[in-house]
Amino acid sequence: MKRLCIITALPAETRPLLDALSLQQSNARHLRVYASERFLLLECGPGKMNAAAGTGAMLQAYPDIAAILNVGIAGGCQPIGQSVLAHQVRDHASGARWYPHLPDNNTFRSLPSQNITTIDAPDTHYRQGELFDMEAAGIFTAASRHLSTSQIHCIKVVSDNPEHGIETINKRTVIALIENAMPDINSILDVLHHNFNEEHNAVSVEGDVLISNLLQQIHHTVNDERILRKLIHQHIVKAGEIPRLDTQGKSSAHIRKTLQSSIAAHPVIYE
Amino acid sequence: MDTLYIEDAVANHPRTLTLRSRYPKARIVSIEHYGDVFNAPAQNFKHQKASPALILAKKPGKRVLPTPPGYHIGGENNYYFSHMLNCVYDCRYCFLQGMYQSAHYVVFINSEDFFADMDRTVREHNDDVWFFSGYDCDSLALDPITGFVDECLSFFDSQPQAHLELRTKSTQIRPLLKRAAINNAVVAFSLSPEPIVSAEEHGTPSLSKRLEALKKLQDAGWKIGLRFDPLLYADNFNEIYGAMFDQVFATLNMSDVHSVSLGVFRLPKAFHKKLVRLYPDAKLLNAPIAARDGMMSYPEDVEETMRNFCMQRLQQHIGDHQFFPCT
Repeated sequence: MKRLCIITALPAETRPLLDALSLQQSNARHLRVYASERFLLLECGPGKMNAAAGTGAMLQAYPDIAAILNVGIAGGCQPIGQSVLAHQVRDHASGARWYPHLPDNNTFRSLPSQNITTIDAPDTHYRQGELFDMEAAGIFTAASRHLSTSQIHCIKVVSDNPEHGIETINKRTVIALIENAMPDINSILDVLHHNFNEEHNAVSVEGDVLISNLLQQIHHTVNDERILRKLIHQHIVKAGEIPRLDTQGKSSAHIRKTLQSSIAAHPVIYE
Repeated sequence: MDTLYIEDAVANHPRTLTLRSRYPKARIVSIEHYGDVFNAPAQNFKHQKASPALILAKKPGKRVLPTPPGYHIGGENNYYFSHMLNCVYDCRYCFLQGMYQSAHYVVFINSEDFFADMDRTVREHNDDVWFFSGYDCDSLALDPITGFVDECLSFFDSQPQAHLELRTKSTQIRPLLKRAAINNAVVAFSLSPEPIVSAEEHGTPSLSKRLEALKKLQDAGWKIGLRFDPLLYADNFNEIYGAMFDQVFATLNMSDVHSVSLGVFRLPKAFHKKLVRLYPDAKLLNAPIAARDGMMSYPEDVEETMRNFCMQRLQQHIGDHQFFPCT
């Protein structure tokens, strides 16, 4: 099962998630990572640079991450404590923009969405229709090199607004804000978990096991591996079953020919 | 539709306001240019296809373009236009999934500019000019939302020198049936055998529904066209294509069909590669497909056998003047 990666910036944002998702500290060099069977959590530190560097390193260290959810606080015009999804993330400094693809789903639909502008220093010029944060653009910069914009999302909890300024934020209030937003965060995580793990059906999993076993038994090059993977997949699609292969003492070239013959023997029939 | 991306340039256009009112609960995201969303890197076509957004934009630059060589149904001057980009259907062989990064639908709001360009193009020629719709989208499928076809037909009704082909798989023919047929428009349906519709043309109306729509149009006096394109390889090709032709001939008055065309499956190499990546389990990929002249296609002898079978069946029911094999 592929894991979802939550990225926070501050310890106060992390703490409620550790409790709610039963996450344990994990050994990862130079990264503050917590993990469970379903989730990874990276606490990247504040600011765009930390976010980009941490996200990039995280995706190198854990290449099978299914999706990323950035959780944190942000300033805006919405009421304090409101959870808001990002439908556009903009880097204020460079003008770069990303458009997360929000799935057509009741959970996502039930939450408001706004533009999130990532700024390099705290700002108090609140504007309608826009939230300020300090990490989202860094996360999108790094993550979009590995994942699609369907797999990178951002949920922010409003921590300051024109009525309750930035000076009212402290560790205690941030913990309370994230704790209160946990139902929304959990719902989003459930949808992402469902969307990005359902693609692995039983046959493709069985095919992956066959390929792994096969590659352990035969001498092969990187190109052999690529071709054999393709042929085994093609066989599964065309024949509707895992190929039965006698690999004892056989070369990769021999197995390749066997698979090609077996594939050719199955007709393409539309019924 | 869950999300509407709206270009600032068309935010207050009456068509935008009408479209917005159809989706009162949709997220509205303001954008500067549709390409910022549509051509952005790191998009997942397959995920977007499951819940596409609508992008409302203004089409700048050239809106009417010459068709590729061989793309015609008898006319000398041939152009195409795309009032939309992308299709509501999910056909495995479709080149759009290879051509675009995104599965979102772009609707160009400035129809009036399209008609002005077509008007200008007609004036540049002394004889008839053909305009093809449905190259980058299905001409009718999203019409209940865009309402483009009705405006388009009114334009062509006033331009006897201009001819229109609406290419579709959709049975949304209400805008056509509610008005009198015009002589310079052809409604052309792409047709495939039912087993291929089920396996490869996801979300499309069945062959029977398409034929039913064609019959209604024919009865109402509209010129209809049949597009057997793409022909897909199958070991039971003769059986399934034979059954389809039987159904077509039994339903339609073939002597009244305006035009029939055939085209065998082929895709540019890069598009084929993307198809393999997106849908490795697509049945059509199991056919003998190889690179030839920069395209991925069936071996020449296979293509010829497929084409010959179809031509033989068709020639029993249509005249040479109705047949355009290479479009």
